[in-house]
Amino acid sequence: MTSQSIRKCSHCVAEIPKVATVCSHCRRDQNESWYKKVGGARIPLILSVLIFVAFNYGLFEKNYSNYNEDFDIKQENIISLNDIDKRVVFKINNNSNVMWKKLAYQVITKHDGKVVDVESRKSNYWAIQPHSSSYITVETYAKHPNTTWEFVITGLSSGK
Amino acid sequence: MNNKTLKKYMSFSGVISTLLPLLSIALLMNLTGFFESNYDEYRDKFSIELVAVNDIDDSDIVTITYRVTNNSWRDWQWINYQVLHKNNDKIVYSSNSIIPDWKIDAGEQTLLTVEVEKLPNITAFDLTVQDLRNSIRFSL
Repeated sequence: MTSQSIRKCSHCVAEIPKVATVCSHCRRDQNESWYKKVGGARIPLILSVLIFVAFNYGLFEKNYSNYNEDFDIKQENIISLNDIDKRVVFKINNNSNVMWKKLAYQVITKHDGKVVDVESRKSNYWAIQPHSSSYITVETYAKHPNTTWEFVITGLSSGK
Repeated sequence: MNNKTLKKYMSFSGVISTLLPLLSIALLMNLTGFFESNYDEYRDKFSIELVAVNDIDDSDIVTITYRVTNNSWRDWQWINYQVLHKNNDKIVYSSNSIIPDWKIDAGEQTLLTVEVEKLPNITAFDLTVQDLRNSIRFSL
């Protein structure tokens, strides 16, 4: 056999006839597609694991900071429970086309326009559908007659 | 093993080796909720009607029962809802909660009982469904 009529097996590197479709040593196919060469059926499995991990780690989640201009918040009502304790109801409008859930927010308490307290809270059960409104009630206090409250959304998770 | 049997086996294993990765992708996409419908698209297919308000004496809790009608063709489960407590049309309190085991079949009615805090001077309890999951997804 001349050197022109032989070649090396792409798997075990043994010398085989150039026209051979199967290696006589390792029995591997010499005409395997790139797909089979790089692992064949393992590719979709690896891809599916990557998709699963990406979903679980929120890779496809929307970022609230890109949508905060689509929200408007209005103070709906204030209920005095006693001289100090108050209950404030806020109405939140979601003008985006995304459903949001798990609200993280801050209640900023001001006396005569000066910030006297900032409380950070989270409501895991809170949710809002696209182009709709939802309410949130916060328990707070007022030690001064000119107390006002500002409601700031600090985080939201996008739903499906 | 003769040639005929071998060919049959090879083609069967070929089909399995092709389908298995596709099925595993579909399963994982299913588990991540990829095939789920958005409740938002079906919101107008639901109606809610107040059935009963059970105000138990010496309790801080009021039990409210609603009848929920699902006019969509999908089965739904896992409800996330909001109850608005009203005093003459003014909202004085809102509460959010989830009932993971709640289910409603396509075209059916079912009752939903929720517990809320007892507050003075409440004239109405309005329930809003904030989110539902449809029943396509199955869990392991």
